Amino acid sequence: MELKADRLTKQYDNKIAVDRISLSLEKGVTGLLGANGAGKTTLMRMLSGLLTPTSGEISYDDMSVKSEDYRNVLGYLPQDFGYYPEFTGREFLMYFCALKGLDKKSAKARCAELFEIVGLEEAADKKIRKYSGGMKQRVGIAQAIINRPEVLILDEPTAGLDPKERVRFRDLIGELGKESVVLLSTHIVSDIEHVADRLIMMKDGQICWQGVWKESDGSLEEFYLKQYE
Amino acid sequence: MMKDRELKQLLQINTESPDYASKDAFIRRYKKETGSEKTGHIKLVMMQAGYIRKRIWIISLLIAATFYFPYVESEDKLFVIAGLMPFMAGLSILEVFRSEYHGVSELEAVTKFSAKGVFFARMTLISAFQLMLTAVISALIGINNPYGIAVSGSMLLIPWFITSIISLIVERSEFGRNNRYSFVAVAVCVTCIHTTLYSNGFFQSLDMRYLIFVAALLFALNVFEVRKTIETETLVWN
Amino acid sequence: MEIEEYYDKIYRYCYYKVGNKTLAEDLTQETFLKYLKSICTRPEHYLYTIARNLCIDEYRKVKTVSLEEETVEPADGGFEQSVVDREAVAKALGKLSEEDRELMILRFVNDEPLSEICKITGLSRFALYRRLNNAKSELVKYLEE
Repeated sequence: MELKADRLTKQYDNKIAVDRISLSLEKGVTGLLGANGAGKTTLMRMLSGLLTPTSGEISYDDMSVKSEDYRNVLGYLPQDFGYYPEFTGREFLMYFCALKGLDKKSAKARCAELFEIVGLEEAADKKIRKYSGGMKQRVGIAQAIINRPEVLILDEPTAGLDPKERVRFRDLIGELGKESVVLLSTHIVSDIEHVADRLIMMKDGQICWQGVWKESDGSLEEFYLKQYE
Repeated sequence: MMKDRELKQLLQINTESPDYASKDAFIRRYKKETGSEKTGHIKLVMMQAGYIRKRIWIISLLIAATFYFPYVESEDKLFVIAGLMPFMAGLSILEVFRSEYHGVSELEAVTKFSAKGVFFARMTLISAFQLMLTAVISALIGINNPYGIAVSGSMLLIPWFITSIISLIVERSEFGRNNRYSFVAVAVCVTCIHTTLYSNGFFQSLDMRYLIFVAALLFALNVFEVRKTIETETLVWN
Repeated sequence: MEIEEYYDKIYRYCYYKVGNKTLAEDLTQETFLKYLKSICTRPEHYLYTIARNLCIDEYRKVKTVSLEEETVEPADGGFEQSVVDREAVAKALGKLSEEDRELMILRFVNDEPLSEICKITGLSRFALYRRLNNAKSELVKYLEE
């Protein structure tokens, strides 16, 4: 289980959003820290196969990230996502279960399980447009793990979650990281400092630091802020 | 005595669930062993059929049903329905681009079938339905008029193809992505031009058989534009 | 057979037979692996047959190890949740005979149709109906205590 990127670059006209990034992600949780505009979303979109790099290579084991095989093992939550307004939470998940190849009976069982995991059993049959921001985010997380992905890429997954939801989310990520490659991005240090096995810090499209942060190394928040001085 | 349903609910809520991580890992390995089916386009198309809004089918049928409107003179029927075809095409554009409008296409893009697959499935379904309706109307009209079925069909399809082609080009642009109902403007323009030409006797002065070639050309161009739209990366994210 | 649909059902079936979470998990996964090795067109109730046989083998293993050693925890001893309802349900299920408990799990928790339960247990429809009613009355009595 290895997601590899080699000298990835994404350039738009005169702006370089991602600049020659190389990384190798294995089983466990990797936190991607960086301010808005650092290139996190662009990097994640390339790793998800949604965006073609200007140059560089990406692969997961021996699969191309543009292949159906990769999409079968991938779970992705974008920073902003929408929903069809007529859908209830359950209909939303059932729709994506079908798109991810589950038959109706499996989809029903899986949806019930997912609602329990994200704590939305009571709201499953309500329209998504009536959900709070935190509830919508939880449905998004549920959608990302429908197919029990080997690779889970989450772009700012804690946005809109209240403190209790954040704790629940951290527990879930900790569980998922045991058997999957998890990459989650945030600009809030506390969201990942205790759950990430490894950290990558990005600035201006490049990796400015990566490694394992131990408590004995001091305050991660201070170190992170120092990168931006 | 407790009812069966109450007992069921009580037991189901309060019985043990397996450890999630272990179950997750096992099911993943198991599915890998058993292998997953390769994507079947037919399966995807059938699945998407359930998610196309009923109003799309109903409005398409209503447009075709204007054939039966009694106030339309029989020699004008062909041109009246042809004038409404841009709106039928516009409906199909509205529905196939729903994923984009509602910000769902990025989520669809990372599924087994991908956003392109969903787009293609919807396009196939709606176009097939509307073309079938057009074929029926062409036959009903063509049998009783001097143009014949092929020319009548071409008359109906040409405004449909023109609207579809222009709408696809517009939808790929910045303007189209930010304006959900830009297809309405396209449909209105095509209808206005069509009506003006008809009122000025343009069609009546033509050798209508050439319309068959025009329709065939526009069909090819439409296919080209659909392919170009599917291949556009911006379709899958914004 | 879709594993998504049956994993939890087989897990609960095994759990209420052996009373231990880890063991139930192992038996569940072994059940599916055995099912995979068999001719895969066999019907889903075969999963229960495999699971049942594995549970019986497990019981036999425990008995030959030691008769005094209670390595198999009683059903109401394996719970980690402190929720009162869950403990009460577990306790009540634990008081039933093993056969009655099996029927309750199949019918009321796993929602299996009567025809399937007949195939799994080998009971006639009439006998099943009678046994289910008796088991249900007993369970409700224990739950209301």
